[in-house]
Amino acid sequence: MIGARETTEGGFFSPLQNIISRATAQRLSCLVVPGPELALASGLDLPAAGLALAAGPRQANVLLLVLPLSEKLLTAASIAYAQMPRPRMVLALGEGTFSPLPEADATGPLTSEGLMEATKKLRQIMAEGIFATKIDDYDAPALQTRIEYTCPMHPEVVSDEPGSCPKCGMFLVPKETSTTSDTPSPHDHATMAASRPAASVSSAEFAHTADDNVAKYVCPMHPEVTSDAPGNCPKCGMNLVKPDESEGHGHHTHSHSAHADSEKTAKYVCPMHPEVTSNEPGSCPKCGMFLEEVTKAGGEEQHDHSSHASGKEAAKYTCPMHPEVISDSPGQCPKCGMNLEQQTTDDEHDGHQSSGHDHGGNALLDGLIGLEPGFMSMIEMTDGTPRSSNGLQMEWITAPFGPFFPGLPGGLTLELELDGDTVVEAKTGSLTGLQDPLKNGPLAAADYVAALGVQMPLATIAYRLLACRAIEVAGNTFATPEIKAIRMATLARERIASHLSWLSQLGRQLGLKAVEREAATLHLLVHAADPATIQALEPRVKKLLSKLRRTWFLSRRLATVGALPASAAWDGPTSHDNTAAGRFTARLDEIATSLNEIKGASSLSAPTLADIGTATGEGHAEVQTPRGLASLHIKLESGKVVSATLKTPSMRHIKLVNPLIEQRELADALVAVASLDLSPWELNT
Amino acid sequence: MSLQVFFLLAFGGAAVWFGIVVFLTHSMVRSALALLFSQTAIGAMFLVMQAEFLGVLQIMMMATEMSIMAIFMVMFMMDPGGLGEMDMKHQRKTSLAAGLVAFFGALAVAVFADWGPLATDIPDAGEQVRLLGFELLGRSMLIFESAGLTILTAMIAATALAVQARERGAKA
Amino acid sequence: MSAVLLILALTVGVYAVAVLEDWASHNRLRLLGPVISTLALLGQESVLHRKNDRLFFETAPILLLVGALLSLAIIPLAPGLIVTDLATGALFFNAALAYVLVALIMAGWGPDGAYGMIGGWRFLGQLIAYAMLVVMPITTVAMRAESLSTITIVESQAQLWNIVYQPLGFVLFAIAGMAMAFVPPFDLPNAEGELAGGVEAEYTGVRRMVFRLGRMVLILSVASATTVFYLGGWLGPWLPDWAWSAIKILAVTALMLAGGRMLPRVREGTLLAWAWKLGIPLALVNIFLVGVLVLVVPL
Repeated sequence: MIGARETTEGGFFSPLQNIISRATAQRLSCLVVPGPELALASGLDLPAAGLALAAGPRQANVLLLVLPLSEKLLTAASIAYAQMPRPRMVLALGEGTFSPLPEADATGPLTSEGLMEATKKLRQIMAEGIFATKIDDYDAPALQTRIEYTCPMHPEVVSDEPGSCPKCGMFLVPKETSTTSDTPSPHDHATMAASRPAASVSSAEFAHTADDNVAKYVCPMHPEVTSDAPGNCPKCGMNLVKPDESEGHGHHTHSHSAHADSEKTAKYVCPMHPEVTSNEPGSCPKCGMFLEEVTKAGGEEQHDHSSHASGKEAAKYTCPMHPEVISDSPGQCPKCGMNLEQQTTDDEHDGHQSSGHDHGGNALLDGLIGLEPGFMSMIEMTDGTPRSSNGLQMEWITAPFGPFFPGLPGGLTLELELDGDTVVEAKTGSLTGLQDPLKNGPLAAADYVAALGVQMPLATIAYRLLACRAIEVAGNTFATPEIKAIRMATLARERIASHLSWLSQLGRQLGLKAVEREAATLHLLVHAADPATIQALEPRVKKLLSKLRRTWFLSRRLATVGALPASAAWDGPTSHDNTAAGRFTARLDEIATSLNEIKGASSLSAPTLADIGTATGEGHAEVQTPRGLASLHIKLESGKVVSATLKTPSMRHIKLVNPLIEQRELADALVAVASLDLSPWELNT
Repeated sequence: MSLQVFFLLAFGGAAVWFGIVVFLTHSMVRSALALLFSQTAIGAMFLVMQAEFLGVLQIMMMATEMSIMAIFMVMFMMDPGGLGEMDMKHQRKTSLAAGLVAFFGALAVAVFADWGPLATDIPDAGEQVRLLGFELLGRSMLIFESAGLTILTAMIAATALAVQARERGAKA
Repeated sequence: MSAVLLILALTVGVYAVAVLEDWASHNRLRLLGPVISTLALLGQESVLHRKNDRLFFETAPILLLVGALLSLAIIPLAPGLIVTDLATGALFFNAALAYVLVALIMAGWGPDGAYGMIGGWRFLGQLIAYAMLVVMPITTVAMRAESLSTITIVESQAQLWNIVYQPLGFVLFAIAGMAMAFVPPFDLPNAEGELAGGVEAEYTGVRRMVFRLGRMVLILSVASATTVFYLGGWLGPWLPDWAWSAIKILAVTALMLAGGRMLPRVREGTLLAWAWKLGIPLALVNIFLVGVLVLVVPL
């Protein structure tokens, strides 16, 4: 057993270890690659084999590979395998290679019996002992990390060696990245504080705008708001100010120059504009804020603050990040390596400090946030970072939901930018996906039909039918009405199976265990059954449907989620209600109507191509797959398919993900994505 | 040294130690939770001093309060896994001075105040709860009610301000 | 003697909760299930995530377990069969369980993973929803008993159980208790379908075992508190006192675990909205009603 745990030879605990091994064999929990829905579509009955579904790699001890798998999926699987705690095993079903992963502990054909046999073997191996005296470390290319060096202020500066930033001279900081950087690495669960560098960049940009004096008027709070004419900021309504007025000494707009002379006599000053002083209380002519009284204590505090170093008077050079670093000669900051900047005069800095709302926090801001030192004000710190809809400014994190996320289709990657529990932005993709069956040259028509069917494991019948129809149109041959009826009935069966699988996934996502179980069981019974069996199962399916319709709060939970705009390119199951609840009921209705469609059928079988001989021509066909309308345009040359253009529903629907989930709570966003029923196999990688 | 004094000293020491940890650590969440455990230790001191209700209340309230404080700090300044290496000490001189003044002030109160005669018969915990209830709904009712009302007003005002800011953002 | 009995009761209780939890999620009653699961977890590697906050990561499961165990200290199984009859028992129950929140935040923060962290902070939001709905119904229970002592609270129900005397309070407490024990549909911090395990996502092996154990004790504790506050604790005819306690506690546990499985997981926002817009007004109404009842019909 390759994934065994390490132990010493003949230890004191070996009798206990035997018991533990046998117990472990009873608790198999598997992570299915690419996902449980593919296991279902392949007819694998995981509960019957005693395999529980793990929520993630950390909870799994069996990696179940449903082969064949794309290279990217295998890379992701190798990372997941490395995350699994020992003892861990690999169970490979079907034909195909799985090269970065270690040798499988059990293999079998991709059938329910194959799964049973292989699981039995796994249990035997585990029961014999999950401990080994010598274990091998697992390594895969995707696990190789290399250290990159990047500038905290300029994330675009990346280097293989340590050094200093060519832009600002700061020391580069090490950062770990995967060597195979194109695949999302689930082992970096959180790329935290991802938005920080962006914030630093934008603030640097703001500084530029001000320096170049491009804009004549800017908002004191939102430097990105610039205008040629005086007016109000569209973001906060404050009066715009002239940057050159407040710009005194090479800093950006926040560094207000203070007229120290007048300040001595002034009693009231604007918290934002220290140059605005008055002997009487009132409001600032620049921004309309109430003037604050300058108290003696404030002056003292300011003095205290600036006296970090006693030799301040003589100091001429200071670090932009570490104001306590002061030097007589130009050079580099001993703390961060940045070039020291010349201080113009002490008075100006004093004035600037007095405008700070809080005098503490230099150290807090050091090296962390590329904003002006001396401030710990929330407004300053979050300035320039994008605002979220709830107005609360928070740190954003990026988290991957996929490719093996419970409740989402396996192989689909969904990378969410989260603002607390709210989704800001999503990046979607597929780790499997369309490969052109014609990439090795023209294919015989019948082979093309088969190849397209294999390409789409979640909707084999629909795509076989699509290929058959397109080729038949091109070959000007048409199926007999009987064959057409059988085809439609078979498509109806696939629709039922597909929707049941979707219901099972939804049950898993929402924590409705009973629904998850029952829908999966029914899927296994229906997906390859003959009309008579389906007839017999009808009451059970109907019972599930009515149970789902009656489940408390379910429609309510879905009704507020995933409302599509009227113009959306949606052609999946739909009803008058275009929310997730509408799509949910539409799928339930489709199951019921599809059951009726099957009733008249004599037999069901996967569509096969009518004999088209060596025809030449072009053909176009459309099929309403369980996920929506798919179309295929095909060119035949003497009985061979030479070119084909396939349009799948998921290609259109994936574009809906972002508008549906932006600014939604994470829970709602995931339901919204699930409600689209995307198939990663129908997407371009 | 009685067992009571021993535990009092132990919990007191823990409270002080966790208080120091607040500033020694480099992670904001650790800092907040250190403050929580410092306050919990003070709650335990109340328990040792046979002020059961106060102790339990202190232990209960602090858990929630400090957690909320921690989330607010994290919300604004993410510090993944405490790896940010933040310094928790700001304005050293001012805070040192303030701390010393407060310490000696408290010490002076402790030493010079007239604490009256040592209580010998402490009412049992049940009686304490009863007496506290009478106090809260009797002599001190006005104080507590007005304090509660003030806090409620502040909460409503804060919410109103937040809502306003949001609407302003929506308009823009 | 009673110490031995209490430890025995705790062990049996936790085991029964584990069996019931397994039954609720897998629909199979496996009496040996928890033993096998425990052994399997013992055999599993206990992975330490890179870049962790190790102190938090290690402490969290233990704090969860300790908090839950402490809250059980004030639960009487029979007259005299109680760890400590605190005069502030009903308040102490809340104080001990407040540390569940701290434990979950630590567990979420420790491993430096997004799922766990969101899960931990989510539970803070959940606490804001349920905390008042736990405390306010307990207030009315204490009003009737004129004491915070759990023994007195049970004795005050000799004439009529609180579930009949103040049904509104019972409903609120039961729902809030489920949220407190984060059982479905309130399993926001460790949701499988939303956070791939959330706060539990990075725990494996022995650490996970301790975490799960703490969770079981927590469920047992909430079920016991419901029994003591509303179902008359050990009171009941024919059977011995402890048997009534056991039956009631296990029945509440089973209902709690099975009931939640019928409902989809609530959204955090919905939970907060319901708790504050509906739950708290109802809890205030309950306090008023019980106040009148206590004065008019002292039972």
